[in-house]
Amino acid sequence: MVGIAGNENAQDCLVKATIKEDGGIKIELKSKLEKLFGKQIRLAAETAALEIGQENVVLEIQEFGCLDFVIKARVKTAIKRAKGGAKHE
Amino acid sequence: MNKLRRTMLFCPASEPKMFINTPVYKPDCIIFDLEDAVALSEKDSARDLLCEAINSIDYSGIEIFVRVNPLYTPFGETDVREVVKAGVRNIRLPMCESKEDVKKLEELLEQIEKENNIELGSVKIQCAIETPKGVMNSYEIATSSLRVVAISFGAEDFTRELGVDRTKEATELSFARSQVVLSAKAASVDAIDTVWADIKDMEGFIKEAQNAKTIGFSGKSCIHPAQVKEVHRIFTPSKEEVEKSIQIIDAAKEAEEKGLGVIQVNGKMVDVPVIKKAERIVSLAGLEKVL
Repeated sequence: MVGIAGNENAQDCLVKATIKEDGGIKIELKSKLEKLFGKQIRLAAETAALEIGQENVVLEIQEFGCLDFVIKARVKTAIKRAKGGAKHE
Repeated sequence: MNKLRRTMLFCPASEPKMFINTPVYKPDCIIFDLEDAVALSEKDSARDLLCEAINSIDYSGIEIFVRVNPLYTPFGETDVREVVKAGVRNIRLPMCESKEDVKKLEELLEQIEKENNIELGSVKIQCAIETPKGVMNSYEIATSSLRVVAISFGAEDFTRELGVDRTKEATELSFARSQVVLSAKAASVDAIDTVWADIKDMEGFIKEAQNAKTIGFSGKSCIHPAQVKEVHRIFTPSKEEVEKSIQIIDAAKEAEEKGLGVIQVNGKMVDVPVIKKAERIVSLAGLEKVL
């Protein structure tokens, strides 16, 4: 189960989420700012996954200078898409 | 009626950088758009971006509205549920044609407020009047719920439904715009004028904004940051207007203290409607707290 969200524009990021049965949250990050902000980006991504109850997922993130709220949003959308799309109550 | 709603600047909710850039232009209100500005394939991602932005960016001083998708689409209800849970307190309802449309949204909002321990009635509604039917029902729409704080006119869909072209003279809109203003004023809510789509024609935009003020609109929708300062200039009272209004208010206060009835200021009779108009001008100028 794979979902993708975001794009390669400046101030955005591209996230690929692969849902797993186990293994926890694994984050593969590509960013020019990894040395400076890698820890913060990973924390934002992990927080977002947990906020929507996803404890086992591989997140491949390409980051292009975006703020935390964008990382969180893109991670959530990618996970929801991997699980079959957002629910329309 | 107390909030300044001179400008409502539309901002597509699908672009991350727009969440940061838009408040820089200091509109009175921002309308984050989940409807027309967002492609069908990105409705979910725009909603997620908006919810995260609302939770992390300080928009204080700017009133935030969200234009949700119509409730009859697969996205509308989820839009309302998610953005209200994220903290949005003003929903713009598109294509509003009757009081029943408002009632449907009101019922949904009441349910969401109860489920999430949000104060009942705290989420407000702006109804977009965009069809001939909506124009004819604009008063019943404006009075359909205590949640309604404004009605706005949308000329693009309106002219499409009317089967005519939108012209720069806007003759085809004159009755509808006036009707929306009258309905809003009679219901004591704000009336917001339509957008001006030709962003290169600033002269035409200014002319339409001046006309909007003349016929009684409270403000105008904007789709480009450059339009914001022009609308603020047009809708903010001049120094002379403010000075004259302050004189009237002071004279009225003095007359009240002395127990006098009708008074004169600069040789002109001043009664209650004149005083109310002066108070409105001072309020628009943001001076009411100083007096």
